Amino acid sequence: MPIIIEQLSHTYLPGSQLAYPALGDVSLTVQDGEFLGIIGHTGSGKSTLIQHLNGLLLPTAGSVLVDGLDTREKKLRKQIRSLVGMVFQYPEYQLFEETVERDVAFGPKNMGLSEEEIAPRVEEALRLVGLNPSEFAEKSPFELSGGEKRRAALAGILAMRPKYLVLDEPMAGLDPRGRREILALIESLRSDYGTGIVMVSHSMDDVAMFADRIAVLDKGSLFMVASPEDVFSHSTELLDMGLNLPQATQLVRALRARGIDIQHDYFRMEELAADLIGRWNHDR
Amino acid sequence: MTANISLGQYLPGNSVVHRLDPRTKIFLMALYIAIVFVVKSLVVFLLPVVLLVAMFLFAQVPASYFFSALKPMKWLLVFMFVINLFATQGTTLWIDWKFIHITQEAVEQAVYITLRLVLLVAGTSILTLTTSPIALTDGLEKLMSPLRKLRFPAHELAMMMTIALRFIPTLMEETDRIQKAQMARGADFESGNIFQRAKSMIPVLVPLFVSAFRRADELAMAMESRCYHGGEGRTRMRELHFHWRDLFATLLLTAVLVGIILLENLPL
Repeated sequence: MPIIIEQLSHTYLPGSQLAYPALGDVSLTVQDGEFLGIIGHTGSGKSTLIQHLNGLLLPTAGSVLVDGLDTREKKLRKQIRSLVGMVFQYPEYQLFEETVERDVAFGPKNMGLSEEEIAPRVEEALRLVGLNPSEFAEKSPFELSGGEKRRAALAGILAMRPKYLVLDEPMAGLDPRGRREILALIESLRSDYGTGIVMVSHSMDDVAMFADRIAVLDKGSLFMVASPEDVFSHSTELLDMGLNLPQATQLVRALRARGIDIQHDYFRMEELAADLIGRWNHDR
Repeated sequence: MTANISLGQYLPGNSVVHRLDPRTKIFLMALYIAIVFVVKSLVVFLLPVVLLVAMFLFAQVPASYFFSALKPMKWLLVFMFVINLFATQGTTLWIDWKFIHITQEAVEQAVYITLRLVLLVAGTSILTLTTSPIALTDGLEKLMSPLRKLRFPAHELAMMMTIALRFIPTLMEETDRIQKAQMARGADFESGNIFQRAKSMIPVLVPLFVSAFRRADELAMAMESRCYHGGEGRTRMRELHFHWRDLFATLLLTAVLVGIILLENLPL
């Protein structure tokens, strides 16, 4: 069953002078096991939107149903939060326990699982993020390196075995290698565990590379939800919103501006490269 | 949500009171407090009441702020009134029923004490309502600077206050974010008894302290790399200047204070 967002609106501090409408009338469905990218300029409502997916924020109007469970029902909230794992920006700032093991166990413990159930989950989660349990379990989270901290924090979410994983800029502030590792992890979660992924990112290349569909938010409303191909064919509109384009799309635009006729709206570098190599071979 | 908490309740404006030098305003508050404490009889109480109304009018502060200033004090006010009503000894019995004895003196005392508290709280709120926290610390620093001769760290204290004020919104935001991150992991801050709730704050407090220390470190480095070396020889962007209105306001309040002392002590 999917996450169904229907005509969702959210206003911060409603009724006060500081009332601020952050989202208006957004309808969107996150399918089982799909990779949904969310892009939008700063202040477009991305963070507000994703915080609705596990009931951290509640709709001012409209509704959010997670596998049929309404986030407004207080009794269901714990269940919803274990279904939808949420990884905030810089998740390493949430580490607090004395050992990595106990920190990772925090989520499962809150779900009410027994010690026997928690231990294998912790070990599995640590392995998933590439932290060897025998080496890291007993370490203090505060003595890890930046990238390790991020992965430990991620393990804390994965140990809850969420059906959907929502990530807000999961690669922010990481070096290229750290980025690749996190992206590979996210991809393997989806392919091996069928986890549905919702990822907010400023990197159009990452989104173009992995997302099945992309939701574009602009000033609190949904501009479009479509395949990367469709979305990046609206390159002029995206640029007007202050968004970037994937490198391949930028190159296509630049080549077209020079009079080179490329019909297809490429958004992945490999595909564009194949096309260009084909032309070059043909011309020779 | 935490976004609506206004700190120090500063109400931006351009009234005469707003434009007074912060040093003057701090001094005037001292005078005003003296006035409120010097007053002893009910008739003379009219003067500080008029003064308070005048301050609200000149500062162009809506009357609703009078009540919001008193709101956190309401139970203390009630408590003070009741205690004084029953505990004050007197000679003229007004009510004498079973164990309840209320005298005229007790009623007067209760009214005075309560009125005094109201005047104090509402009056001093004018200071924070019309002076931005930064101006206030600037004023305090200047007022305390003569104490530097006695090795009193006036500048350092003011700088600490400024930094603390500046970081309150940041830390509130941080708290909100950490709280949400832990809630997403199933943390529950709302149910359980007081001990369980206190314990449930640990996952928020530990990361909050860690990040506060990290920020302090970063700020110290940023300040040092801009050659901050304490107050010695430091000039300021906004110099404080006294104007005629500062002198005038000071004279006015001094006159009221002297007048009240005379009124209370002369046999009329």
